[in-house]
Amino acid sequence: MTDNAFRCRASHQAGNRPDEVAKLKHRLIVFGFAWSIFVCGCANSSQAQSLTLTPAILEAQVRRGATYTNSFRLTNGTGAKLRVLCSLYDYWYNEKNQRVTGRPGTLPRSASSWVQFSSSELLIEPNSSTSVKFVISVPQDAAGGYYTSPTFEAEAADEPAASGGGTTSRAKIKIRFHGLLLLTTTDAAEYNVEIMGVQISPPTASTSLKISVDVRNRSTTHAHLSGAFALLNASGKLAGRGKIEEKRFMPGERNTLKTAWAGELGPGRYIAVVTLTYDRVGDEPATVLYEVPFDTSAVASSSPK
Amino acid sequence: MSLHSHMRLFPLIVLTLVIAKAAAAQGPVVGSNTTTSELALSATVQTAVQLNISTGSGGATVAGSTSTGLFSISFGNVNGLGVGTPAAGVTVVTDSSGALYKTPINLTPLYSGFSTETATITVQQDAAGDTALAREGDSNISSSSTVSTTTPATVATGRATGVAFERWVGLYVPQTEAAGAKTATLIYTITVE
Repeated sequence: MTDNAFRCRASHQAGNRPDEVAKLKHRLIVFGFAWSIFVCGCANSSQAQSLTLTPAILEAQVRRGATYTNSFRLTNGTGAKLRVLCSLYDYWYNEKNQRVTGRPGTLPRSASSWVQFSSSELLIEPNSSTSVKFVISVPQDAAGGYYTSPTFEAEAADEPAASGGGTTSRAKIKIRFHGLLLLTTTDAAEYNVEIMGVQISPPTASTSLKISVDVRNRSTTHAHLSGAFALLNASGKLAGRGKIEEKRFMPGERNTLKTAWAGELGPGRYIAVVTLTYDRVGDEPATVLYEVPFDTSAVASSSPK
Repeated sequence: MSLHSHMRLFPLIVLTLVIAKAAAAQGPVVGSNTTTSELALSATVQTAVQLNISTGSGGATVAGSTSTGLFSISFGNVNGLGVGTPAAGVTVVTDSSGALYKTPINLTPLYSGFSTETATITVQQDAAGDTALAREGDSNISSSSTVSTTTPATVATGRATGVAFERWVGLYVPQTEAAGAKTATLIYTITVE
């Protein structure tokens, strides 16, 4: 029933009783006020509170001995003031190729000591954003890729009002962003990406063809590898092709690129031609090519001889 | 139509002529009364990452205001026997040693600009506070779901952007716990890959 309907009925029922009309109006006002509070409360409790970091990943080419200035922007999508602590962690990978962070100077190719924030602590007003500047000072003897993880830890700047006489228990939550800064010197970076082997799982009636490319990045910097594959039949005609999604390889990292192809291949012998491409700072992009024969009736694998 | 009506249309006609003239003056032209120009639009797409926290279904308020507690969950008055009525949205589970007060929250990571949009979310505990009481886990959270202050535990990997997932936050109150206000701080870390 709408407010108008309420009003019409109230007027009709209480036509000759002014005191009851006044009471009813008063009740309606109180009801409306209470309803507003209820609706606002529900909206507030279900509304997501957010924190945003831009850029999350920053990749730059730097000259040895030079300094650079840039900034990160943090957006407070909450209804309260946030305190943000800015710090730096090293960034690398472990034996399982999982990304790991560590205290500054503890992991290889650390750029943590190169970066200086303009402020180590920020206060961001509700529903607003702020920038934190940073300066990168590249040492003269730097060569290749260096990495650091700018870290921003946010918490409510103001303590909530204590209830229950200050004896209640509470769990507080902080949000921490690990961003990523990837730096490559414009000179003295050496590139060497190898395909160590390719494994083909031929398609079956219920599975797609699968390609696993074993890659090692022997470069002194990271490389973004992306690629393509072509499937040639015994007479050299194209039987299928596809893409290999881009993946970042850190210096020295050995990892596997995987892709699949959903087409059909008749019985016979085929050749899979895999090409990987990556950009090189200060040079033309490079391409690595690898061929491996396989039979549709068995799994084929190959390693360089 | 009266003269008054014509006068009302006059500003509109003038405005139309001005816009038309401006549009026609975009570049030099010969032998025609119209021309077009190209407007180059350029922008640099940046990467961005966002983490949303919201109150879990039927859970205690986590996304409140400054007064109710932002990123903060009030469990109310708690005790090691689990007796009494817990705070709204808080569930209590007792065992022979104490009581676990727990409530769900929703985390939603959002990414933009990544070639492979994945991120890892871990949880650990701030060394300050009543660290022995904090618990964190999925819907099977229990008194043994402790949270390390030094080694982050992975709670999500390869999460698609914009997809919320539920975590449970709790305080385990042993019967031996001294009375008084208790506070623990959980740190959710999002690391881009």
